[in-house]
Amino acid sequence: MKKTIIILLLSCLVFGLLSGTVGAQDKGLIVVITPSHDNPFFKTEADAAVEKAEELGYETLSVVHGGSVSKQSELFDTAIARDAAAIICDNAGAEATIAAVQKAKDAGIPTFLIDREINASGIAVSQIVSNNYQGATLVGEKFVELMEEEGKYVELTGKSSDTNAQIRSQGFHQVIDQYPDMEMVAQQSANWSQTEAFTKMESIIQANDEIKGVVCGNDTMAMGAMAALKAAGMGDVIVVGFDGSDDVAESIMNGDIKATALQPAYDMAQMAVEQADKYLETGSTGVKEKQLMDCTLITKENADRLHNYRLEEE
Amino acid sequence: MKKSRKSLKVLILLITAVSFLFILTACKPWTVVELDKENSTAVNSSVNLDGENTNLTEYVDELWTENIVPYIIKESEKNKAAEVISAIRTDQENAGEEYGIRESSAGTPWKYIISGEARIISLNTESRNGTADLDLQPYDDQPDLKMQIGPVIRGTSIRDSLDFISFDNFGNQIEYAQFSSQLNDKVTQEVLNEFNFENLLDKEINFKGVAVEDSSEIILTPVEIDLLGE
Repeated sequence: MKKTIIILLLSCLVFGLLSGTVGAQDKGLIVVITPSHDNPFFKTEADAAVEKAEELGYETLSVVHGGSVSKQSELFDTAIARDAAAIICDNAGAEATIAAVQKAKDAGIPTFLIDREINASGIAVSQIVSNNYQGATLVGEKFVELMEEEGKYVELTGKSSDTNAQIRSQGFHQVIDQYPDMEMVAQQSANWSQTEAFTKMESIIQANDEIKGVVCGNDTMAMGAMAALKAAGMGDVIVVGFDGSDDVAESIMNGDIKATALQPAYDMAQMAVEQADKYLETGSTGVKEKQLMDCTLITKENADRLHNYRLEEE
Repeated sequence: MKKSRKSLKVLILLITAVSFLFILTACKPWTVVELDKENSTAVNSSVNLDGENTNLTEYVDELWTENIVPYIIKESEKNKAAEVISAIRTDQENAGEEYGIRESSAGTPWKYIISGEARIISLNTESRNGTADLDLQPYDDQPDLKMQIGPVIRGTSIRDSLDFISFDNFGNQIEYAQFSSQLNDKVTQEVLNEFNFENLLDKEINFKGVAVEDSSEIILTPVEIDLLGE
C-alpha cells in the first residue's frame, strides 16, 4: 500500500515537472526586431526585451534589420514561418512597416512596436513611442536658457531619411525660433555619426568664429562636435545632444556637453513585452494602442544617476 | 520696301515671341517648388484626427471655446490652488492621485487644474518666457506659484489636462505636439494679450488654469484671468 502511494506521488511529481516544462515551451517564441546593435541604444532595447521575455517564460529570437525595409520584411516572414507568439519591433520606416505588421496580423501574430510609431492605427496591438518631440523641446528649452536667449548657434541634424531626425529638429525649433535673438548660422546633417559630426564641426568653426552653441540631433554627433570644439580651443561652447547615452552622461559630469534628453529605451522594451504577455494571456493589453513615453532632461544635476539608458532613483 | 515689310513682320514676330517667353519665364511654370520643411508646423496645417484630415487651426478655434475653456473652468472649481499646492508640497504622488490628471503611463508629471485668488507680487519679463509670481490668499508676500504670462508659453500642460482627447486621436507625435503649441498660442491670444502685466503689479486676480510642478516650482498656465476689485 505504502509503495503504491509513493509510486503515485512520484508519478504525480514527474508528470507535474513535465507539464511544467511543456507549459513554458507552450508560451512560444517572441521575436525581437531592432535596428543594428552598433548603436548601444538599440542593443539596450533588444537586450531588455529578451530579458523580460525569457523571465516570463518565452523563447526568444533577437534579430536586426539595420534600417532596411526589405530586410525587416524578411524578418517578419521568418517570424511568421516560425509561428511566433508575438513580435516586438523598433521599425525601419513609419510608412513601409505598415505592410509588414499587417502581414503578421493576417497570420495571427500580434506586433508590439517600440520607440517609433507607424502611420496607422489598429494594426499593431501597441505602439509604445518615445516622445522625441517632447524630449527635443526639453533640450531646446535648456539650450535657450544656457544661451541666455541670444547668440549664434549651429544645428547638426541626423540622417534626413529618418523620421526622428525631422521630429527632433522640429522640436528644437519649436522652442528656439520663439527667441528672435537666437541666430542659426549653420544647419547640416552629420547622419547620426560621430566622425562626420567632428569633420563637419571643424569646417563650420573655420567659417564662423563666434559660435556660442551647438544643438545636436543625437548624442554621438554631440560627442563628435564637442571633440572638434575642444580641439579648436572652444571647449566653452554650449553643446547639447539627444538619447541619454553613458558617454554623454560622463561628458556632462566632466562639464563638457551640457544637456541631453534620455529616451527610456530599457523601460519601453520591457513594457512592450509585458503588454505582449498580457495580451497573449487575456486577449487585451488593458491600455491604449498608442502610448507616448516622455523623455527626461539630463543635466549635471542628474547625469550621475544615468546608466544604460535608465535613470536610477534618487 | 517689300523686304523691309518682311523684316518688320519678323521683328514683330520676334518681339511677340520674346515677350511671350518673358511672360512664361515670369510665371515660371516649370519651377520646382521646394518642399517647405517647416510645412508641418505651418499655421494652417492639416492633421490626421481620428483618421480624418482636419484643419488644426479651425479645430482648435472651435474646441477652445466650446470645450476646453468650459471644461477647465468647471474642473478648476473643485481644486482650490492653496489646497492643491500644499498637498503637492507634502507628497507629490498622493497629491497627483487625489487632484491630478495624467495620460496613461507613469513618469509623466501630474497636471493639476486649479483656481484661486492671488496677488501679483513680482514680474519676470526679462525672459521671453515671462512669468508673474503669485501670492495666494491669505497674503504673506511670499510667492506660492508662477503664472506664465508669455509671449512664449512652455510645456504641454493644457493639452495634457484634457480628458477627452489624447495621443490616440492623432496621426503621429508631431501632430499631437502641434495641437499643444496651438493651445499655447490660444493662451497668449485669448487670455494674456488683453492685459498689460506691468500695470497689474500688486493687483489681485482670480485665475483658472493648469499647474504642473517643475523643479520644485509650481508653474501655472492660465485659461482665465479676472481682475478683482475693478
